[in-house]
Amino acid sequence: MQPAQQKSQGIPNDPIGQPGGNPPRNPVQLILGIGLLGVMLGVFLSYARSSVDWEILQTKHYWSAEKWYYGGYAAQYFETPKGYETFISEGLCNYTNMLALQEQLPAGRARHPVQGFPGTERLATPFLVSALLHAPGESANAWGAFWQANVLLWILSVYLAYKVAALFFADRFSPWFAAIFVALYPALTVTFNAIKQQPLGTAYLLLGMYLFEGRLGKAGLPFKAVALTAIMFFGQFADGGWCFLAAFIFLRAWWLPGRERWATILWLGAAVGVSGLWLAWLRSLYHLPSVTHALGFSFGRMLGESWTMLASWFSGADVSQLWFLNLSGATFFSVFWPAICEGFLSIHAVLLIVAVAGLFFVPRTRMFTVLVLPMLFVGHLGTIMAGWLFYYGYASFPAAVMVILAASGVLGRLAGREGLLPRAAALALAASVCLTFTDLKKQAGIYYGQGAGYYRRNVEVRYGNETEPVDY
Amino acid sequence: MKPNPSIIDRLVGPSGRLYGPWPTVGVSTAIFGAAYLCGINRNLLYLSMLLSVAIMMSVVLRRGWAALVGLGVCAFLACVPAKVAELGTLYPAPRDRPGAENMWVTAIGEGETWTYEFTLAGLVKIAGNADLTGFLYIDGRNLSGLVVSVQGEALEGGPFIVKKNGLDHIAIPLGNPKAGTVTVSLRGAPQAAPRIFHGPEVHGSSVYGDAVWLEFTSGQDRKIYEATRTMAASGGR
Repeated sequence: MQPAQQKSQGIPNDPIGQPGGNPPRNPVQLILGIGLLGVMLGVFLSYARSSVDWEILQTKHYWSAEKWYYGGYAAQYFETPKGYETFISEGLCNYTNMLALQEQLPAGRARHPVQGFPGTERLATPFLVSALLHAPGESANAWGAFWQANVLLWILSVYLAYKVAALFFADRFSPWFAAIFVALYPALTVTFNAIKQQPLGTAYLLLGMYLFEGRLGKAGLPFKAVALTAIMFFGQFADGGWCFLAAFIFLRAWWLPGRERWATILWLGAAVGVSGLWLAWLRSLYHLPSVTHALGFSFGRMLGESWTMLASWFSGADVSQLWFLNLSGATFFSVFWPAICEGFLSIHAVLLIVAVAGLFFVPRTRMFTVLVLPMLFVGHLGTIMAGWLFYYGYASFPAAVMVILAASGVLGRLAGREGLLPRAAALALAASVCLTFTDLKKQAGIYYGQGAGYYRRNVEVRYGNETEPVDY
Repeated sequence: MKPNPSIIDRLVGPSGRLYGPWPTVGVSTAIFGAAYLCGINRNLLYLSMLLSVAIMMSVVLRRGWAALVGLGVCAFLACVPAKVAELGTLYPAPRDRPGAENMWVTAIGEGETWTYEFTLAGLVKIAGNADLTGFLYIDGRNLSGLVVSVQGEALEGGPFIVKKNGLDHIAIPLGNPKAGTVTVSLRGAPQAAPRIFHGPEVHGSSVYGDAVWLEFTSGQDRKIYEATRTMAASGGR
């Protein structure tokens, strides 16, 4: 029989099974299958059906009145089928930009411009939601379509995590572990009611990994180039998706055989360049807003400043008035990067321990473990560009995907071994990972900055003379 | 191989085989080109996004009938706009436009007094706790010129101000009040024009429009109180 899809090339084969072989079964697979169904049902009933929009709560003053409003406070309220609602101002352009996408007039005569910060870089959200609004009956409640899009994004991410893990690991268990971890991953579970769709970039990374590894492997070079260009083009509207994917493909290429490595890097560079030109043309036609322009950010200037700072630092000169990666002095090393790593560790400690163990015992997982730090940096590039000293949990999601895949490979290897002890250990480790993901208040504290310490266990809001409070 | 491919695997078909991805790419380009040339849809931004989606679709959907369905959906999306209701003007957040000092704030007019009556229902549960802290919070601009009355006691806003995200943030400690009503009044000092931040809290059909609220915290419990503004002209400022 023909293989259903090719396995990823260039990474040492897992000793427990060859791609295209028939790896052994054991009862753990059934447990994991039931576990995934249970997790998805639990997440849907407990988190997705809850009406809490964690981001707008954080935006309000309930947890962090002492410091600041996160992400722009809601200035307007709107009548929705559920009554009046406020929406985070930074995400609101995801709604209004649907009007820009649904225009059918040429650029010069369009009534609705693309707007907001960041408007262009998040256009994939209004694109997705407006596609859903084409379905019968949907237009009556556009806000409901955002929720549907978030649920679809969550399901798609779970499916893609399963498929990507299946591409890299020949056992029957790793994909299930990866799917379970992604199904519970806080970047997805705290955003069911959001209109910003921050996990979109990482969902796009998973999609790109699946397409690149599983579907484009045997494609001819011309089609590969066209497809990569299209993927990079759409990714520029997907919350940084193109950047995460380009970084992954570039880094992953170093595990490919010589000629294929250089061809991949070449085609990737061409795809990024052509898609950038495509977008630049549209920018000039539609006067699309740009984050880099709004922030006055320039990569060239940042690199130049960073080089000067490093050179001064190594020569022992005072660097307090110089800049490194858009942060003054040595702030990147003394404050920013430690904060990012601390935030990342607070959620992924168990996964990281398992992944690091895999460096020694499961060669196929090494690539993902090695990519964790570079992807953590790439994920937080947006914060670096803005010059903010803030930990956004969802910006760690690309790195989390790497550590989830690495840990899933290790746990899959354990689960595939003979004997009760390794199988029980794999399940126990997976359960402990799941437990760290389940406290949404804590996760929201980590995800939307300030830290989990700002979140109170019991929050009660009393509105005017209403007798019943609202609990969070 | 995995002997039982999933339903989705059967739908998208095995990789490497097929009828080739180029027909799907060509047909989708023709559809969007025709939609543009015929004037059905001249939104090049949207058509470009649709084209890139169609190309990605051609990577995945390898079976002829599945690709046809996908192309049909793309053609529908290109030709039929979704009905999206207008929201009205969208203002940028203050920090997105530095210097926009008068956005998102309402000035307390000359001679005006804004009054809020907070009903402290439910506070009794934590009222006796030793670690209970309560604050009146007000956000806005130029709050050093604000006179705040709490239960009739007038206070200058200035000493209580800290900066929060570019705004003035007032935090006045309330001690450990018993359940009941806390009345807060705001007025401007002479020659001052304090401006209160819009902080629309909404609940059902009620709107609590100003960033003026009470917060009581004890251990892991936090109680927030919102109140609507009543406005009156005050004599003799």
